[in-house]
Amino acid sequence: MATAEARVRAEFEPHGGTGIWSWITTVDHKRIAILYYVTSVVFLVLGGIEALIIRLQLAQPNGTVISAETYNQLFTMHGVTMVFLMGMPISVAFFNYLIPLQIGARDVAFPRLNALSYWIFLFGGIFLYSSFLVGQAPNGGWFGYAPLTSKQFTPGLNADFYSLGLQALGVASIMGGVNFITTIINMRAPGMRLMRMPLFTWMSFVTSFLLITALPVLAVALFFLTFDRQWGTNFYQVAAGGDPILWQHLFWMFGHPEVYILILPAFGILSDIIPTFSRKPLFGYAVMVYSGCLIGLISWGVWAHHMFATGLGPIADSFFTISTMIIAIPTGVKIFNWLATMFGGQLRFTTPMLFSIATVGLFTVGGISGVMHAASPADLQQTDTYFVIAHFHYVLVAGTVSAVMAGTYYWFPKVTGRFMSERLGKWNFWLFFIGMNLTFFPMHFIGLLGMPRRTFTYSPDLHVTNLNLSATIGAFILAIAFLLLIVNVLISRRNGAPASHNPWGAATLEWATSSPPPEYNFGRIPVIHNREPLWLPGKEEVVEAAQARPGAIHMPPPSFWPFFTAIGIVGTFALFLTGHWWAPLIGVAWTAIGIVNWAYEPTH
Amino acid sequence: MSKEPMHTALVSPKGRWWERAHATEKVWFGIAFGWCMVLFAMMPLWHWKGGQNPSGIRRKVDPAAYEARVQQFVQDYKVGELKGIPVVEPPAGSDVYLLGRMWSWYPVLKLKKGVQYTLHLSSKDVNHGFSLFPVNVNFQVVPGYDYGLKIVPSEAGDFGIICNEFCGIGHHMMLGKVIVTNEDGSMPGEKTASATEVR
Repeated sequence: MATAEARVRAEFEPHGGTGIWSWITTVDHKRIAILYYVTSVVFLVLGGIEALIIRLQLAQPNGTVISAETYNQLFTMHGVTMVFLMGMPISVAFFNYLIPLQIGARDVAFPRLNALSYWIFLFGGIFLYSSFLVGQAPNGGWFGYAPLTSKQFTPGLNADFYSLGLQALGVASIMGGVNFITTIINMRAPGMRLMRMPLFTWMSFVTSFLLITALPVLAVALFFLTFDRQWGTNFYQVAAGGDPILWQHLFWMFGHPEVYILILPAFGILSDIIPTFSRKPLFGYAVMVYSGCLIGLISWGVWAHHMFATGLGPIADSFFTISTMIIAIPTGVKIFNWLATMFGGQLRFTTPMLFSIATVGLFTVGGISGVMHAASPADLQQTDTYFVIAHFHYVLVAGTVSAVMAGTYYWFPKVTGRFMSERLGKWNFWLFFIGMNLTFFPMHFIGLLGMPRRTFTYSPDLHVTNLNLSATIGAFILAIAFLLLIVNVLISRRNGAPASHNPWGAATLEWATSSPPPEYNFGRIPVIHNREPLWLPGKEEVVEAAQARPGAIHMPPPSFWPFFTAIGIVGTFALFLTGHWWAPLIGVAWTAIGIVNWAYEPTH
Repeated sequence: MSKEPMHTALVSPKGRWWERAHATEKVWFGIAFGWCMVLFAMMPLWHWKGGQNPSGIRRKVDPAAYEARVQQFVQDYKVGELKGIPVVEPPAGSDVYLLGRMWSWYPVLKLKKGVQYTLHLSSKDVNHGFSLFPVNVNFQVVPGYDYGLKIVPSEAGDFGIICNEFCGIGHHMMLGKVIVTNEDGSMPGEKTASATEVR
């Protein structure tokens, strides 16, 4: 009896302790989520600093803070960072932490692949940022329009860092997508039917499909670019019969689903938070699911609205105008369903709820200006002006980032067993709200007054000086808000008020297990009978099963090989920079060693 | 280990597993669908009744051939020079050529108010953006493509051309000019000219 108990206990000891080696070799989805989150926040700070320098330069007409070349590198890296190194991975942090907990699984389907995704993301990000060390950061915009990125017009390494770095990051995203789809399809708890899954898991599911379908398109576009630059092919070379429009089609075929990759997880976060603090089930659950799927589907048919100005002709213009306006309908459905969820509910204005309500309102501002660009004749006046910048920052800062802040405050008690400070949280929220609007609202007018994007100075004759100054002041207020978030996390991690297993009184499964959850998540896998397992009758059984003293559970052991293999994969891309044809083969060999060891690694 | 029967999600559930749409949901579907139809109808209306889509036709062109055509055009109709860029005054109703290049617009065009021209846009090197200031209309200028637009200048005066598509380090200083004269060839009063002046 005693020996059996000892054996069982040994099985549950967290694998590998808490040292740095345990983080490098971890395959636990919760720890990988924390790694993703922390890394994304570091990149958020870097991208934010870039934005602040840009705003300083633009605070006054004919600014002289930085040179045009530095400006080009900064706005390019700001875009690349916020999309690929902050927006996507911070969503993946939430996917990692929450999907297994919300569907009643003990880990993701492929734990080592999950670790590999993270390490590729980290090394890919470091590779992109190492470009600053040689002073040749990407400078062609995050959209990298051909043929400006060709060897002829960008002779330096700038565009190589861009194409190779994004290529590596794309590999990580595709693997992540495969992993989450498999997890959601195969690893749900008994009774956790698709139509009982929490909305966050649903939106992650849709996002994962977008990841595995959109990123390969970017990969193709980037391979063409790499071939053009490394081996002199002519995919985008006009003089040799290549076509620069091809890049635009490929890039936006990836780029528009990408927008929904960034925003759908945020929709999922809101759909979980708002019912909790309204004490009402989500209004129109099924329609919320269908509208999310529709957004995912239609996002494939709208890409050319980024290209109205290239002269696609009236038929293509009309088609993409219609499809873009139609995608606003499922999005609008979501907005109204959140409002209907709150309507008549017992609202509690906690920090996560404040961020969620602000997201619903401000995202709608961005949504409406989005429909304005969708009309192709109007788009011809707005494209490439600051109006577009105002639009997508309302969508991505007030949508994605704000929802991520809400999610941080909401799930922090689950991750650490402690609340974040509400007082700091309220400051954080109001500074964010004021800073965000002060920065981006004036940009609507700056754009309509005719200031083009991506210009490093402007003339006082444009009469946009005061508006630009307001945007700069707003940007610094926004920076303080982000700083407060980081301070709050650091303080509350050790000193926050202790939280129970379900401190907000939420309905979804992740709140059934203890806070923080044990490595195996659930002592026994609970049986699910409905959509709100912690609200409806039977909730005691669910909580009891989740927190039961476990029987024998086998958890995957830590592995060093994902870390090792990731070095090889990113190294393969990085070694292209040397210009020697054989250099990348070193990375390939390294990767092969990693994969072989991975395959033969004992799993006990 | 518990002895619960293993249900897997891959087996489809028995019976009617879905729920009927609520009456309010059906109303909501109706409104959404109706709105879809309104938007759908607006597109053809905009195109045929509103005439709001540009009339542009995009054709493939060899950048070198296009540049030669622009040079020929400049040679034929050159009337002066402005800061080293030739000013060209083509005959009314003719084809007008404009070349975007790193980092200037070539040549300066002098057009007559109320007359239809076919404006050709193309680039010698990378993507540029033709944006008429202060009218705020944008067309992308892509190397290898000749973008032909039917235009009728409706107002006399000086108009600036700003490059609106990121084209490298000189992007912010890539400025050009279109001069529109009255029907009789005279320039409008000082007021209009200074109001639209571009650096």
